Amino acid sequence: MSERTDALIDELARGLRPVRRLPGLGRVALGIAGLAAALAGAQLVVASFTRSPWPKPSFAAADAATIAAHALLATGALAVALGACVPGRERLARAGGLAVALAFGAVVWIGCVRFAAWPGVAALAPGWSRATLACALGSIVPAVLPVFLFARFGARAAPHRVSLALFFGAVAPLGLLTLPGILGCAYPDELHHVVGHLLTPALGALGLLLVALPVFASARASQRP
Amino acid sequence: MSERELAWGRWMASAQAGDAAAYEALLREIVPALRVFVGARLRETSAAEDVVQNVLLSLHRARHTYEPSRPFGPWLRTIARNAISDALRARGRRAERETSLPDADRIADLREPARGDAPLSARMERALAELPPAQREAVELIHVRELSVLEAATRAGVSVSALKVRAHRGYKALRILLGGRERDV
Repeated sequence: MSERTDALIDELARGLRPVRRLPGLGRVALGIAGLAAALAGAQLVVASFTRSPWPKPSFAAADAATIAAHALLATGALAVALGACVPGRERLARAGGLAVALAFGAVVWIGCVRFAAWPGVAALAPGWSRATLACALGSIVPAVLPVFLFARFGARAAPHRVSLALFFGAVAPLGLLTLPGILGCAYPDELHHVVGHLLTPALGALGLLLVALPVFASARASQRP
Repeated sequence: MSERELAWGRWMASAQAGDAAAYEALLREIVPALRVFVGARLRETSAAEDVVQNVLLSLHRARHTYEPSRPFGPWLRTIARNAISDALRARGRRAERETSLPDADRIADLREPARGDAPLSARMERALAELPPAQREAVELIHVRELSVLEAATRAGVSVSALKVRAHRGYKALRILLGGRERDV
C-alpha cells in the first residue's frame, strides 16, 4: 500500500464519528408522493369551491390513460431521483428511467395523436399564452414544497449528478400535481392542453431547478464542519 | 454475495456507529480490490492511486448512505465508478482549465542558500510568516511537510481545487516577497 494511501486511511479512521443513517428510500418516497398527492387533493377541493360550474372529468378511456400515464411518470421520476441519490441503487434508477420514457411517450401520444395538436405559432397568441401560463403555474407553484423537501434530502444523500437527481425529483410531484388541472380544465383548446398540462411536468421541472439548486447548495453548505 | 463482501458490510455498519478499528480494517481490506477495479478502467498507474484515494474520501463522506440490509459491493462499486468518471472528465478539462504548479520547483530551488546572502531558509521562513494564514498553510503542507495535494486538502479541510488556488497565490506572494519579479511567476 502506498504511504500516502496508508496515511489517508489512518487519518480517516482517526477522525471517524458516528453518523445518522439516511432514512430508507421507501419512507422518503412515501413522504414525497404522499405530500404531492395531498396537495393535488387540496387543489381539487379548492377548485370545487372557486370554479362554478366545476368541469367534471368524463373518465373516458383517454382520461384514464392520462391519469395512468401521469401516475407512471410520477412513480418513475421518483425512482430515478431516489436511485440517483444513493450509491448502489442504479437498478432502481434504470427501472425508473424506463417508466419515465414509457410515460412520457404515452403523454406525447395522448397530446399529439389524440388531440392531433402540435404547438406552433398559435402558442404565441397572448390570450392563449396567459391561460396556458395560469394553468401551468397552478401545477408548478404547489410543487415547490415537495421539491424543497427533496432538495433537502438530496443534500443529505450523495447524488453524483445533482442536477439530474433534482430534475427528476421535481418531475415526480409535478406528475401528480398536473392531474387536477388536466381533469378539470375549462379551457377548450388542444394546444393549451398539450403545453399547459401535458408538457408541464417536463417544462415545470426545468423551472423548479431554480428553487431546488439553491436549496440543495445551502443545505450542503450548512452540513460542512 | 461473497463472504468477503458480507464482512465488509458488517464493518461498514460498525463504522457508522463510530467503530474506528472496524473502519480502518475495512479501508485497508478494500484498497487492493479498489486498485484492481480502478486500474482496469484507468490506464495511468499514477492517476489510479489518486483515484483510489478519492474513492476512500468519497466513501468517507457518503458512509451514512450505506444501508446495512443491502449488499456492500454495489454501493462501493458505484462510488468507485463515480470517482473514475470524475477523474476522466477532469483529465479532459485539465489542459485548458487547471494551472499546473510550475512555481513549485522554483520555490524548492529557493531553499538552497545563495552565496553572499542570508541563508534562504531563514528568508523563506520570514516570507512564509508574512503570508495570509490560509496561503501559508497550503504552501507548508505541500512543500514543507511534502504531502500530496489530496492529503493537504484533507488536512486543511478544503477541496483540492481550493487548496491549489491557495497554494498558487502563496507561491505568487512568496516570489514577490523574496525579490522575484511578478511576471516571472
